[in-house]
Order: sequence, then structure tokens, then C-alpha cells
Amino acid sequence: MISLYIPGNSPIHRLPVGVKLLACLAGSAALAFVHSPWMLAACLILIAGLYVVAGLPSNAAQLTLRPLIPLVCIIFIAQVLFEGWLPAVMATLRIVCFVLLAALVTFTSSLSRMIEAVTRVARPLERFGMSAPKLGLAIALTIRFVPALAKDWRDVESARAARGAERRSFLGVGPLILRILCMTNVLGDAIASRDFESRR
Amino acid sequence: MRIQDIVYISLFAALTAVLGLIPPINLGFVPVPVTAQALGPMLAGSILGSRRGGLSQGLFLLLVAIGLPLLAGGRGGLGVFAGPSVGYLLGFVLAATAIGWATERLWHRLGFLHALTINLLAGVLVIHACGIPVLAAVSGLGLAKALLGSAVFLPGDCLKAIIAALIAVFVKRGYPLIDHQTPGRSSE
Repeated sequence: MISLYIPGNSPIHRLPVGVKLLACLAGSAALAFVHSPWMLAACLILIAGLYVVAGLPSNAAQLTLRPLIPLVCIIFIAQVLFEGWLPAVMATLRIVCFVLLAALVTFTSSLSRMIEAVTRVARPLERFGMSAPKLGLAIALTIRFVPALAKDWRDVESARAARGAERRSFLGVGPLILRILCMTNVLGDAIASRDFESRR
Repeated sequence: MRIQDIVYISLFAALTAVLGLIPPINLGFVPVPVTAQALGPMLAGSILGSRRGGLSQGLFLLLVAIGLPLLAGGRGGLGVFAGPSVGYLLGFVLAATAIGWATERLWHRLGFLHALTINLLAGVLVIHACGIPVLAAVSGLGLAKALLGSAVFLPGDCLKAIIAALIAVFVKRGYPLIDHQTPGRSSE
């Protein structure tokens, strides 16, 4: 499973994930209170500077922003029409800042350190019925299941094609669900027989 | 929670991810391509019930948040949660929980029409009810315009509700996972 993490050894990469998450939250909260377009532009340059410090390739920011382009364009045009130029520019800048700042945390934190951070947060929640080992198991299982189910989906689709299905549709989801349901008992037994419950 | 339940939750989280990998299809009469991803919360709620269904969608979002590109179009990471469409994602959890809750209540009588109604009201409606206010707030567009903008997704979402309802009834007959003895509680 490929994570969006970009390996590196910059100061930002080395920061603990928890610190980065808190800084990102604080930064985003602060951005909400910036009401001058020049200040927002300065924030954007500051965030771009952080990308340079982190040594991220230039297409990293592009990759994050590209899927946003259609939506941001619609927002921008609507804002220009109904609110005027200045609010339009500010709304767009703010969205771009939010997204780039959050994506920076993702780019500089490896999957294993993220999972560590998540389970560490889960541990104090145990008194509310949350189980950190079970959460860890669920995360690991899901990461493994995604490629397995993707392969199952391709199997179902090629079977449909072999039977002469010409139009693509989502109907293959039915057989895929059946495979999932059949898998569960075997998997559950396999995990239980490895004594997961008593090991925690 | 039993190991079996964790496996179900993980599988449906993974299913939601795989539904996002399926190439979007064009319906022809709507301007936007339809992705299958929103089928995930509908199926999770209809098949697993409210607790496991909601947890599976929460787990899916957690994996997206820690940096896996599991959303339709290969998107992921924390950036998605800072973007204007984050409300729709949070709607996945709420929709799966609501669909599961309603499905558990109507379990004995659940037929296609019931399942379809549940998936439309507790699925499509809930996802949009979560997504539109956030979109309106973040973009500063106002509710009415955000509402108008998301109307293009409605035909695709209704199609997904129909598919989810068909599968829900099919699975209920052949492989029921929601306990019928104690309505309201998932099988424990």
C-alpha cells in the first residue's frame, strides 16, 4: 500500500507527529482569523517556505491542489459574481493555505509513525471502551484488505466481461460483497487461533 | 467486540476504499462522472448495522487521514480534511450509522422499498446534509448556492442508493448479519 509520505530527513520530517498535528491545528485556527488578503498571501509564502525546508519535490504541492481545482474555480467564480473580487481572492487563498498546511504533515510523516501516533491517542481512550491493540489490528487488516479486495474486484469484472457484459456498471459490487462475507469467518478464526485476545 | 466484528469493520473500510478505485462511470445526462465510493457507507450500514457500519466508515476516514490515498481519484492525507468537501466525508460515518439504525429497526419487514427509502433518506440525504453546510461555510457561498451546486450529484447518488438497496435485500436473504432476536443491537 503506497502512502502519500515523501521520505526525507529535514527538520520537519524529524519532528514528532504529535507536534506536527498540533502545530497544523493551531496554524489552521489562526488562518481563520486572518482577514487581510496581504496577510493571507504572506501565510501562503510562509507555508511554501516550509515545503522548501522539508525538501519536498515541486510537484508535491501540485499533486495536492490539482483535485481541488474544479471546486475552487467554481467557488472563485461564484464569489466574484456575488461578493466581489476581494472576498473571492481571500476565500481561495484561505482554502489553498488550509489544504497545503495539512498536506505538509502528511508528506513528512511516515505511515508507521502516523499509526503509532493514532494508537498513542487511543490508549487514554481505553477507559471509554476503546481498545488500542484492536484499533491497531483493524488498521493493519484494512491496509492489507485494500489490495486483496481490489484484486477480487478485477476478478469479478473479468468474469463479467467473459460473460459478454459490455457496459461498465457497479453491479459487480454484489459478487464482491459475497466474497467479503465468505472471507470473514476464515479470517476471524485465523486471528482468534493466534490468540490475539489474550496477548494484549 | 469480537474479533469477527473487527474483521467485518476492516473489510467494509477496505471495501469503501476499493469502491473509490473503481473508475467513475458517465451516466450521460449528468455533467459529473459518478464514483462508486458513497456506496461504501450505504452498504456498511445496510449490511453491518449502525455500530459496526459507523465504525467501519470512521476507520476508513482514519486511514485517509494518516496518509493513504484511498479517496476516489487517489486523494488522501490530512489535506482532504482541510478542504471544502470534508463535510461529505464526515457524512459517511453519520450516514452508515443512520442507515444501520433504520435497517435494524425495520429488519423483519426489510424489502427492497424499505431498503431504498432508508438508503435515500439516511444515506443520500444525510451525506448531503453534512456536506452542504460545510461547503457553504468554507467557500462563503451561502447555503442556497451550495445546495444548487451539489444537485448535480443527486442522480448518481440515487443510482447508488438503488444498488445498495438491491444488495442489502440480497444479503439479508442469504447472509443476514444483523441479529433479528434483539432489534437495535448488532449481533454480539
